[in-house]
Order: sequence, then C-alpha cells, then structure tokens
Amino acid sequence: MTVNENLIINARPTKDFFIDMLVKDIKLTRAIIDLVDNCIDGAIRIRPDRNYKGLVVRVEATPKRFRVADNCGGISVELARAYAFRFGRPADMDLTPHSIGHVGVGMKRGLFKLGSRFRVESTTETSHFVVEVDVNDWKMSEDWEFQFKELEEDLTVPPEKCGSIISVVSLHESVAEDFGLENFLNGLRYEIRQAHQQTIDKGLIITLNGIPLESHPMELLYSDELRPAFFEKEFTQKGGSVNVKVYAGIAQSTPAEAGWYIYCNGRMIMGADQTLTTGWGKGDGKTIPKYHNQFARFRGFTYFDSDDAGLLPWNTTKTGVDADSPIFRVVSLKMVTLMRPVINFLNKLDAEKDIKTDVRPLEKAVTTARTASVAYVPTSSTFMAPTPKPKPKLPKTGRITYNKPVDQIDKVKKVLKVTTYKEVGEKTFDYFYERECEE
Amino acid sequence: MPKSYESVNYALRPAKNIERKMFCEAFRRLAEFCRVDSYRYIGFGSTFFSDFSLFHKSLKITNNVSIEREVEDSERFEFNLPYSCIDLKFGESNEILPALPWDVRTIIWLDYDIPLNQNILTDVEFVCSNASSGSVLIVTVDARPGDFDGRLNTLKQNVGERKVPEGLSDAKLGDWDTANVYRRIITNEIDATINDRNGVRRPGTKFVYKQLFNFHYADTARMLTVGGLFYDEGQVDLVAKCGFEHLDFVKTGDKAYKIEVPSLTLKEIRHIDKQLPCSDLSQLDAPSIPLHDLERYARIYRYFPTFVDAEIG
Repeated sequence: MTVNENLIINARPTKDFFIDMLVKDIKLTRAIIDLVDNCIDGAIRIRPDRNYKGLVVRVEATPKRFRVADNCGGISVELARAYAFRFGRPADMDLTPHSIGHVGVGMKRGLFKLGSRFRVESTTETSHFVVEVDVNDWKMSEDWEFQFKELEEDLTVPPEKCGSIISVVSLHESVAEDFGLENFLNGLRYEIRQAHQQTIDKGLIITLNGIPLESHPMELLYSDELRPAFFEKEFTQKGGSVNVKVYAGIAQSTPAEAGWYIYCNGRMIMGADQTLTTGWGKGDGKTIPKYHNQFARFRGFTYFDSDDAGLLPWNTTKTGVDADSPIFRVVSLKMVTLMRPVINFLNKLDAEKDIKTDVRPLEKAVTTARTASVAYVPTSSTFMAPTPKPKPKLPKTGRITYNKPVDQIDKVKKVLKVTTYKEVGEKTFDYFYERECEE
Repeated sequence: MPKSYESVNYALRPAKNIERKMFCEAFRRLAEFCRVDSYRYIGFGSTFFSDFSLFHKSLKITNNVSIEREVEDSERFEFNLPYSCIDLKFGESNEILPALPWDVRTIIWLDYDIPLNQNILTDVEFVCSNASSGSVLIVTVDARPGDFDGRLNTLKQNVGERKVPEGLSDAKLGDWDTANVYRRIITNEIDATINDRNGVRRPGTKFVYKQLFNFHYADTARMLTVGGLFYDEGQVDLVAKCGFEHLDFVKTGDKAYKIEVPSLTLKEIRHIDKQLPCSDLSQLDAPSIPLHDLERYARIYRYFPTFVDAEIG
C-alpha cells in the first residue's frame, strides 16, 4: 500500500531537543548524581549481595574538566551498543536487578548538560572500548549513531581492573564557573551523600575531588517506651514485585531535616519532604497538619525496592516521586496512617511545655531515648510513646466583684495585714466559709 | 460544647434503638466471612454503651474498643462500662484510629451527633486505608439543613470546598437533601481511598465497598447513617451468600430507608403483635389506628422498642 505523502506529519525528534532542551529539566548537581548512579548500577551488577567493600567511585569536578571513574565492573560492549548510548531504554532490554538507572536518559543528559566533548572508556572482564564524541560535530551530522574509537573483545581482564571512566571537557561556561565555587562543590558533596547514603553505608567509597564522602546514617530515637512505627509489604504488580518498608518516628529536633525521606532501590529521591506529596496538610490540615516547627523531630523513611527499576515510583530526574503511580498512592495511605500518631505525640510534647509542672514524662522520654540507625532500630507496628500526665482536675471557679466604701476596705486591710483589694476579698470570703460552710 | 450524653438518654431514642437492632441482624449475616464473634467492634460508647451491650449480648463480640474524647470524665465512663471486654480509649478518633492494629476484621460505627466535617472524613479515610476484607464501616451524622441562607457556605467550610459536589445551592440542601449530599460526600471519600488502595491490586483481587445501610431517621434531629461492607473481589460469592438483600432495610443505592416510629400504646402494640405477620394490613383489627401507622409499625415491629417506667435494683 502506498502512503499519500501529504498525509504524513514529521514527529521525529531533533538532536537539539536532547542536547539543549532535555537538560533544562535537571539541576547540574542532579545530572552529576545521575552519572554516579551509572557507576552504582555497575556495583549492583557485580555484587548482588550488596557488599560494596573495595569499590570506589571517584568524581572530579574542576573548571577544566569533569570526570567520574569507578572500578565497578565496567559497561559491556553489548550494553554500550544496545542501551548505554541510546535515548530511552529499549523495552526488551534485560534488567539489572535493583538497578537505579531505568529510563535510559540519565547518562546522555548528564553529558550534554556538562559540556560539548565527552569520552567514555570502559573495561569489563572480557572487553574494552572507548567512545569519544564532539557534541557540536554530532549535532551537524544526519546520523544518530556514535562510534567506538577503540574496541577490543574476547579479553581476559582481572576484576580489579574493570571499570569505567567518563570525562567531559569543553565544559559549558556556567558549569565551569560552578565547578570553581566552593559553595557549589559543598552542595554537590551534600547531595551525593544524601542520595547514596545507603550505598555508602554498604561499603562503597565515593570521593569528590579526592575527598571521600562520609556516611551519616539516618537515625531514629527509641527506648523501652518509645518505638518508631514500621510497616513492610511486598506488592505484586504486573511484571514483578516491589518491596516496601515504611518507618515513622522521631529524632533530633532539626527543622531542616524533619519530614519524609523516600528511597528507590537505595537511592534517595526525596529528602526531608514537608509537602502534601508525603501527606503534610492532607485533608485541609485535618488528616495531617501542615508542617510546622513543632514537628521538627518528625522523621519518616520509605524504601521502595524492586528487581525492576521501572516499577518504582520515581520521576525521570530522580528528584521526586511519581505521586500518581499506583504503588505510591497505596503506600502514601500507609505513610499517613503511621505518621498520625507521631504527630499527635509531638503535639502533646509541645503542649506539655505549657503546663506548670516539673513532671514532664514526654520530654523525659525523648531526652533519655537512645538513637539507632533506621535499619537496626527496634520498631512496633504503630508508633509507641508514653502518654502525657493527665491534667490536674481543677475545681470550677467563679468570679465575685462588689463595691464597698474605701475607708472600710482600708480598715479590713489593716486587720488582715494585706495590701490589695483582691486579697481583702479572698481572705474575707475564706473567713466566712471556714466558719459557716465547712462541716 | 455540650456533651450529648448529658442531655439525651441514648437507650430511649426509639429510631436509634431500632437502627441498632437492624445492624445486629445484618451483622449476623457476616458469618459467611468468619465467625461473627471473632470480629472487633469499635464505637463511641458514651456513658450508655447501648451498642456495645447489644452487640456483646446478641453477637458475643468480645473484642471491643470504645473511643471517648471527654478524658476529664474518665471515671464516669469507666464506672459505666457494662462488661469487662470493652477497651476504653480516651482521645479524638482521629488520633486513636491510626494507632489501632488493623489486621482484625472490624465492625466500626462512627456514631457522631454533629454535622459532617473534615475530621469525620479523615476518620473515614483512615478506616478505608486500613480495613481488611469483610470489615464494616458505618457513619452517622447530624443531617439537619441549618439556616436557610448559608447552608452551602457552611457545608463548604465544614468539609472543604473541593469535596462539595457541583450544582448545589442553599435551596438544594433543604429537608433530607443535606442527608443525601452528606451520603454522597462520604461515599466519594470511601471510593477515592479504595481506589488508591486498588492501584497495586491485580484484577480479580480489587477491594470493593458495597453500601448496605442508608438510614434516615429523626428521633429529634434529622440523622443520616450510611455504611457498608469492604471485601476482596475474589470473595464476591461469600458476599452473595450473606444475602443482605433479603433484609428490607438494606439499601445499596442513593434511596434511603426511613425509620419511622409510629406512636402506639403498649396495649395497642400487644393487640397488633398478635396478628402479625400479616400480608393484608387493611384487614387488621386495630381500633382507629391510621393505616399508615400500621404500615410503619408492620415494617419494624420485630425491632420495636417498648419502654416502661421501672425502678430496677
């Protein structure tokens, strides 16, 4: 059948779209973290037991060049041919179980975001390749292909020599400027550490400009009477299952760190979230109040984990959740349920401050609690906390006012040895009550 | 705020009394899911615990939780506990519900005496988020229309503008229409929450809400009671076996069942009872009692309360 040419509409993508437009969706720091994600996917491939001891990812960011090098197994020639350089993940592609790259856009977008010349070199146990691209040249050509500059197969390489090196030169001007700023590098260090907290905890070393990133494991408070809530469930979905773990509890009072932390396959995609996405302000603030600093102790952690990264509720920039995804919708109901008792407790803890008493059981419970990292903290199915001291039941009081001649009041004052009208009223009332009303 | 148990003796409200007994009859049919005495009952027992007493005596439910907000009067509530198997929880239902375990099949009756508001919808959401298959949720609210000018505004303030259906006006909230709109808003909340739960469930295992109750009655104020059963699609045969539709007070749609209590003397009641059941009410021997009162009575006589003045103890 012939197709009438007049009926055809051109919907083919342009290279400009990928080089100049797609990169606008992502912050520079996030683009770099995407490149680190690729290394970590390598680590997940070669260490299914998730013990990453001995593996290193070295990130170098200077105004002259950007480089990320790892010893995490490398990218195979097949992977490079079929996937690593393609825009979008082919549907028939074999998955790396628990991987964090899933959309097939991170590495390319990252490279375009950084500069106009890049080089990818990779060595696996059986192969070695180099790809070099001048983005401006590539943009001019009609083809969508990249070419291997070097390609060797059927090699035997010892595991410790396997890995990849990605480098970018001719950095974009604004990128080069950022890489010269200490503040930018500090921010980048913080974000990489947050995103890959769990991986660093499991022994992987990440360095930025030679300095290793320290691990600060997330912690929760606990004691015999104080336990974070914990929920775990395996959700079976089309094509696979997703393991979900949710923790809700309290920690140090730090407004900037309070909120929900959401992880997909170990990679943090949302940190200290205090928005409606994680339930804050739900039901016009009735289900859960909007975030306020009296909740600065609140910490919630949700871990989604799956062999198939495509089943996880993250957006393409891995900077947030896909709030409409079925799995997130059902889990967010659970998050709200687990969170509510913690919010109640923090409200009561706050109210306790206003009571004039030395006995503050809630404050005591919090200040004497111990900390443990989330993975090891003792938990309960719902948040467990001590109850506040019941308010003392005060007898109902009424107010009496009346006028009397001042000279008479002054006489009474003298007799009672008091100075105020209020005392005159109270003492004379007590005098009468004691004699005429008490049995 | 006045406490309703201080002004109303719950046991003496006839329509409420009838409603409770109807629930009891419906709950008995849950036996297809599991033994009814293994259910947990959650309610607002107040100082009378009428619902708890009835369900314990009739259904042998021993896992009971009564939520009570008036913590200052705790001694009075504890004093009035009719049986040892009721766990009193002091606090707002918004606080207590999320802190309870939810892996038990539950009958929960959120028996409010206030107009529908966001707090109530929050309770509905918590229950729907967590209830297991075979559980029953019932909500009662005060459904008086309120002052003519400002009904719609009050509704918007109470439940939040986004939950108010389109096309309403003050005039469209008169009479029992407020109750009808409340039912719609509560049902919307249930449907939305169930929908969130269902995204990850495979076809054939989706969670379903089937409305069973839609009562209108007015002992004094107009009241709405709406509720139903949650079940897993795969258990649809069990639901059919329960045969709820054989109970004429079961209403699965927007048409309500009105509980109307005719005013009859004890002597009249005894006289009519002797002739019931009866297929042709016009043939009843009932001196000067209007036919519509006879019809009302014949519908509910099995649940009809008889109050006598008695000094017990």
